[in-house]
Amino acid sequence: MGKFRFMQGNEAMTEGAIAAGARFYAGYPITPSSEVAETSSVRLPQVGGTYIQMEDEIGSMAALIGASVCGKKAYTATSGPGISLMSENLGVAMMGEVPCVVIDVQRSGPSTGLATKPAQGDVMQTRWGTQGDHSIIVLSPSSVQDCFDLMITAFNYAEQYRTPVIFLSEEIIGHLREQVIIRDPEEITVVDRARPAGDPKDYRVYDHSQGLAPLATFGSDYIFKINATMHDEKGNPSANQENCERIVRHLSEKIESHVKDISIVRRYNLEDAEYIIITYGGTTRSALSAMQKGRDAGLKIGVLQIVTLWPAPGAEIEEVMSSANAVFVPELNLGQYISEVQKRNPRNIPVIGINKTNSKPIFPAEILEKIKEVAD
Amino acid sequence: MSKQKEVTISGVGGQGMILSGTLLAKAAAIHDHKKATLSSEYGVETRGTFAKSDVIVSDEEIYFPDVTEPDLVVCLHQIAYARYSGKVGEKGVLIYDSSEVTPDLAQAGKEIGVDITAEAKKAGHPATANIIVMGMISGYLDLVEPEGAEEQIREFFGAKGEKTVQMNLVAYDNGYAIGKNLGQNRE
Repeated sequence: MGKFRFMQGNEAMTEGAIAAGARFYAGYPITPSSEVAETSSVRLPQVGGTYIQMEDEIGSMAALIGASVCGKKAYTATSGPGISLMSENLGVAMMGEVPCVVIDVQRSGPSTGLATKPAQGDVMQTRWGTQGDHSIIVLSPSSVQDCFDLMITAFNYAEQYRTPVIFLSEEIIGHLREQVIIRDPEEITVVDRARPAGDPKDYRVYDHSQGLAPLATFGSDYIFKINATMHDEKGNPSANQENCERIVRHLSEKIESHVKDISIVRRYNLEDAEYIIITYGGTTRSALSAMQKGRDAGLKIGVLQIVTLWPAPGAEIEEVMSSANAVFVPELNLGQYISEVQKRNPRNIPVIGINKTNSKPIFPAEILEKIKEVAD
Repeated sequence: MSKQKEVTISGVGGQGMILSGTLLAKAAAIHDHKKATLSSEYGVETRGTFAKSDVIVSDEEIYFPDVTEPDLVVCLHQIAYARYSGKVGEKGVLIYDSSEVTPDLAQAGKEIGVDITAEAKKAGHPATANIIVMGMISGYLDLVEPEGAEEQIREFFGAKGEKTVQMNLVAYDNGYAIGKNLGQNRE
């Protein structure tokens, strides 16, 4: 049955990471993510893991890559300014195909912004923050329970697809305290990366011809290179044009071709909904409250919660766009995800953004007011 | 009382409002098996600017975790009082610390002054003010079972020794009696 606890979202992220098998954290504390570092520094040594307080976020991300290729499940936590510093090495992890989990607890931005206030301004940063064509997996929690459960999913995706995964929360959920069940090990599914089994001499770390190549461990009999430069199957630098094209396409397709398996959405009252709120992260709580209040007043409101922000769950969004009279997209930014909805709108129904950047969450009444405007 | 109770504890950073809110919400969730949330707001400075914690306790799922229709707002500082006075809605009641707050005369009769600072000193230490508040809220709204509150106080202060635990239990009980009395007078 697990253990019933009352804790903060950031603390539950640490517990989720440990339950997923993570045993390495390197980071530089920053509000509003600091409690992940704080609790990891206590909890990891208790389970035989390692916590390192790094000099900055550039070093943190580099340490994650090193720990991961040495066989550890590794994670870090930061906020906007830190994710900016991590972007270069996030690219190294992406290009080198090194599994790891990066937690971004978003705060008001841009730049230093307001450290203690919520925002959802990093949605595009996490999608495209590191340069060049690539795909990436980004998960967004809406409860403290999600901080535990989805963190396990984040590590599972990282291991399964040999990729960095971003766990994109915000101050609202990171600092929220509520009940959570810390599930027992037998209740959860943990995925570990595939390891090579054949002759070490034949091992090719980037040979994806038989499905995603297994990842060996540094220090084992398998000798290999992790390379962020264009590389051949053994990890040696290669400027071969055909190879360059293949690698760039591979980095996108290894994720985009599994969008169905990776997509997580939650549907609330969509069956008869005329007005649908498409939402994510902490703003989901506002949307659900607006839905409940609106339903009490006789408005047929439904909610589609996008849990896997990237790759965008196109089919699920299209499904909603085929039945709604109007769609509302509340975001604590000026409209970063709404384009994912707008480009899937063949019936040309109204798509209305509800956007706020004044350092306060979106209140349920603000969503409801917009819906009423359209309904009247 | 409706099934959902909403409380804001407001003041300036450093007054221990997140702790009193957390202990209440935790008691409601763990001991009383209710749904409970605690969300907070504080400035980028560590101390001295507006801060609050929002406690919601409900029999049903809590969606939006910030207080929007307060049953009770407690103000421990003039800055917080200025923000909430006259704005607590129809069902809401505002209680302020009369040692810290100069009330708006226009609100006389609608708001309640309690000398929380003096009560804390009476309990043994000014720092127990947040536990006085914790008890007062629970007494006024019948928010959590006394056993659950005691459990949380023991768990949190246990490491500081039995003397500190006892002092805070006294603070809680004194606060509870004040809250209960205010609640009965109102009814």
